[in-house]
Amino acid sequence: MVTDSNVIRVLLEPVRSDIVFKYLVNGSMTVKQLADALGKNPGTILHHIEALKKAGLVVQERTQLTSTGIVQRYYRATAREFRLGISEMIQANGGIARFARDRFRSMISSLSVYGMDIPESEAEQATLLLRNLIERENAVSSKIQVLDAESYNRLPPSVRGDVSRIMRRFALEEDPQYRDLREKWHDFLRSHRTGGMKNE
Amino acid sequence: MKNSNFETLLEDLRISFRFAWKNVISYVLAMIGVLIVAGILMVIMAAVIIVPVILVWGLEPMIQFFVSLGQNWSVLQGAEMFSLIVFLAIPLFGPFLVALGALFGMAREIVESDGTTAEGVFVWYRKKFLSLAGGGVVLFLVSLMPIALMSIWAFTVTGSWMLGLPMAAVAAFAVVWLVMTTGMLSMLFPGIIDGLSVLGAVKQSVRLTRQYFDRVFGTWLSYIAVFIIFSALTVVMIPLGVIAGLALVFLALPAMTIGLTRVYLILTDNASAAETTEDEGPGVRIVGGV
Repeated sequence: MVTDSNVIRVLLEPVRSDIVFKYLVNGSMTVKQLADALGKNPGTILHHIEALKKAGLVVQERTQLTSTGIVQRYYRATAREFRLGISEMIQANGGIARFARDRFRSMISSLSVYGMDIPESEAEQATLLLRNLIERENAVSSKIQVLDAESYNRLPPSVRGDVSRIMRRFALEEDPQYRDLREKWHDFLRSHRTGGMKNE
Repeated sequence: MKNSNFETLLEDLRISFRFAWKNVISYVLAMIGVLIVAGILMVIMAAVIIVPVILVWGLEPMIQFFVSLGQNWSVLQGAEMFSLIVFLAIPLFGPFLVALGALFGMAREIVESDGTTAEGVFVWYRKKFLSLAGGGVVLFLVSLMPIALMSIWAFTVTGSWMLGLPMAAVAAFAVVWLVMTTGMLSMLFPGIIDGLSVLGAVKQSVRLTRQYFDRVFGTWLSYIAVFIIFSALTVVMIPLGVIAGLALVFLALPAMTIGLTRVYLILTDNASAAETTEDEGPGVRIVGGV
């Protein structure tokens, strides 16, 4: 869980966030590969990688010497998943807090596309409920321990992602506080449901 | 990969010159551009120092100061001369040392991703200005200052500039000192470019030199040999020496930055990290997110 507002600020930069969330959480890549994938100059990527390394979000994994003499360094994210601390974002100065509040407002109002009509007067309450739920989810998820980190790191990315999600679901279902918060949030959603959403 | 032999050194030289040649246009443009910026900064720094002095004391005392400095230069004591050199040289030549350091940034782009751009040097210049200037100051203080101090001390003791055997002994010591200290700090700029602090880069450079003495010093000495050959050609082959001179600046110097950066990246490889197994199939995820 990322709670340091300086680190959150680093991740809010679009290219850096793409580097971490789209690519390096899934596996290691070189500057050249990232530059090609993002359509950017390798020099630009190198500067972003340095900022991410300083923030502790990315590490150098290995170095490979190519036949042409290039010394490729492979970088990977320091975690397979990053969750931004909501409270820390909202309490942070300036842009980050605004970003977090705007994002919550946007999520709440966007639920209307699913037939959830939440009036402006209740947006604050909805934000609070959702924020508490996400914070608890993050807290529970961050406590899940990988007992054999070496074997875990050797798993293919898709398998790793699948087992992580299975364990996260299990841990959340086991947590009474999460279940309580989820129930409150769902009750709120039910009370504002105007569309015909049904489980088959 | 990390240890050295003659073939490795030749390979390092060959690769670095090949990359330098491949990126020669970027380097020429970058070096011209960065020298202009460094020159402008030097003028600004001089103005920042001199203009307030003129405004406070006036122009006449300033002229008198420099005239008396010229007249009394020979009777200055070691400490006074040391302070004066440090006071004048570091702020004035700082921008040029940063320019040299910024070339290592270009080299890093080339070595790690097979390409760079001329404008890239300005990003390194701007982003790493203080660190590279700090690195330049360290290099200046460790490698050049002791030689200057020793010459001043010898001059103060004997009362005149040395000649003959003592001069040869001092010169020999100066050359050995210069080669050893610059070799020991040859990983300084690559370290700074790698994101280390000035102190961290100094420590890293010394550690790498101790741990891989043959590779670091072998590489460093091979570039010194290249510089000596190019310099000799520049002097001997007049008027063709101009070409050798240009090659020295625009080819050998970039090749050195590339070669040292490459060696730095090889020596700082932490190969102990566990490798990830790649997906054998299409990498499709079956379990939905929560």
